[in-house]
Amino acid sequence: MRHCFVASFVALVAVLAVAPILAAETSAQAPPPKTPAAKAQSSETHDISGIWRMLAPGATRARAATVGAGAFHPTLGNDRPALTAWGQTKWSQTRPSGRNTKLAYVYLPDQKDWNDPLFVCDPAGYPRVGGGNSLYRFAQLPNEVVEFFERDHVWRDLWTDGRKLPGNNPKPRWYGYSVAHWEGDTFVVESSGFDDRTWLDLQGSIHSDQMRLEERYKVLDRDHLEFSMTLTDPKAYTAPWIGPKQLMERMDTSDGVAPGIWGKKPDGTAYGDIREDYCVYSEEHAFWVNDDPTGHGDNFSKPGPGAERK
Amino acid sequence: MQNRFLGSSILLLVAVLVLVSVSFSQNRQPTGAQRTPAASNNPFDPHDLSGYWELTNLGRPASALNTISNNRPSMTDRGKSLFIKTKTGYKELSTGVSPQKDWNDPALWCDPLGFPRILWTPTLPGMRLAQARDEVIQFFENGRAWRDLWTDGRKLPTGTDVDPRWFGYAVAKWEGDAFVVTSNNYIEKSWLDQYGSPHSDQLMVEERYRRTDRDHLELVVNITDAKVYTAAWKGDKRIFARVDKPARSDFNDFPENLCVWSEHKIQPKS
Repeated sequence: MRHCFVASFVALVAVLAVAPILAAETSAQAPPPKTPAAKAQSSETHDISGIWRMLAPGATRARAATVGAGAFHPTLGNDRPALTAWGQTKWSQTRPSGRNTKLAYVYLPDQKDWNDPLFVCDPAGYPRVGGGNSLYRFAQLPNEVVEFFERDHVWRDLWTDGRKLPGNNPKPRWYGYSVAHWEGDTFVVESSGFDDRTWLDLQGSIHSDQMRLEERYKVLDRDHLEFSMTLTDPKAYTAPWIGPKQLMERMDTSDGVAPGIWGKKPDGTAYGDIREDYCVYSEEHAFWVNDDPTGHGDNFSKPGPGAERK
Repeated sequence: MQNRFLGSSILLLVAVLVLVSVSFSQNRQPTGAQRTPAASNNPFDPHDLSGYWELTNLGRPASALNTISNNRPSMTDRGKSLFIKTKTGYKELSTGVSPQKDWNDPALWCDPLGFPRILWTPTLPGMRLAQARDEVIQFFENGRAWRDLWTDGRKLPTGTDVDPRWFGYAVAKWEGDAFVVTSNNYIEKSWLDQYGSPHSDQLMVEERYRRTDRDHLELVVNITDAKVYTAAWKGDKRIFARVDKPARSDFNDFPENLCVWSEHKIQPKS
């Protein structure tokens, strides 16, 4: 089991994901391989079932060299639009974990000042749940694509059955409401109805309950997707936040699952699985209490902001 | 650090949470034996468990508890040493009713419920089963958790390399009309029920699902854990009723039922 969820989160973070698929249509044209070493294999169906890793913007397949960099890259990239007055006020309340970047409202080196909601194991929400070293897994069901996350062991329903996003003022959700469809070789997911308590990234980028997301997963070949996301939130931002294109790479199984524990398939490949990576409050609590490098004692006994290990 | 004496507001919150749980439990406890489900004449595929299912108390006696069954086996010394540390407000199957300031149910501070507890407590037990290519996926409304019930021929992992999980590792197969799930490698910190029934990392769970008609699904959960119990714990037959869509949802799906610590602010106890 993963213990130091927070530590691993601080150590990584990044990007996001999701993706798609669907059902019974069989036509999809085979897009030409577009990445180095891409397999000369096309997607013959609208199906992106499997386990995927998000690479950093600009990364190719040199996974080992790029995952670390990707892990620190905000899902939506660094080109965040200007905030509205409402957004500025909300942003000014964030106290991110010692990130001295332009995306952070303030640089506070002392952990006692930080208030990242993940440090008390509140739900990461979407899109932040996809950051760090969490992988993404998609499974095709008759009416939807289910997206699973390692982090917090949660899922999203990406409905492909024709339903529409809820109207005004649905009950907010940490992971929003999502519908999806195919546009040629691209699986398009639209989401709304988000709980505005979540941060978008480690740096404390905020959003409102009016946030809408569009994710696009373009099938490049059997083993690669091109991902991009656009955030629209006129309550918080003066313009859409258009994220960079990022490569997603298929994996047989998560490298967070001990190798070989499930044995091998008859064809010699690994049985797929992703890890269960819960943020467990009681463990985080004990961790902080017993190992507080700042000497500030038990941050969790105080109301309000949580704390993070450096 | 342990806050032995919580502020009055926190105590009140704990009380409310527990009352909700107790209320739910009581609501789910019939005052008399529940009738067995009326058979549906609608066609169905006994090998298709797909759908949303709500746990009922159909067919259960009035005294039935929200756990595997009332007949918990005696515990080993190891089991007793784990059990004695649990503190709850329940008298049934528990170590005795503890003052609420001492309650240490992990669910109070949003730790994962784990399996099989997520089936019955502490909140409404919505469950969905869905057939995917290599598995049956089991979704829970509680905590937005899921389990992979692998049907692709893999074997349960064994050995010291396996990281234990709150929801274990599970494989499944059909035995006639029974869908049989076996699972292992559970994190031993979870409770099996709200009464504090413990388990070890040696817990093995067998679930036997059988769709008796279009609208009803039987489940029997049996566990073995030689570290904690002196015999197998045989489960009662539980009956789920199929629903077209989950109750309490405004999007024809499971509502988002997540435990959010910052809304609770309850401190763990040792």
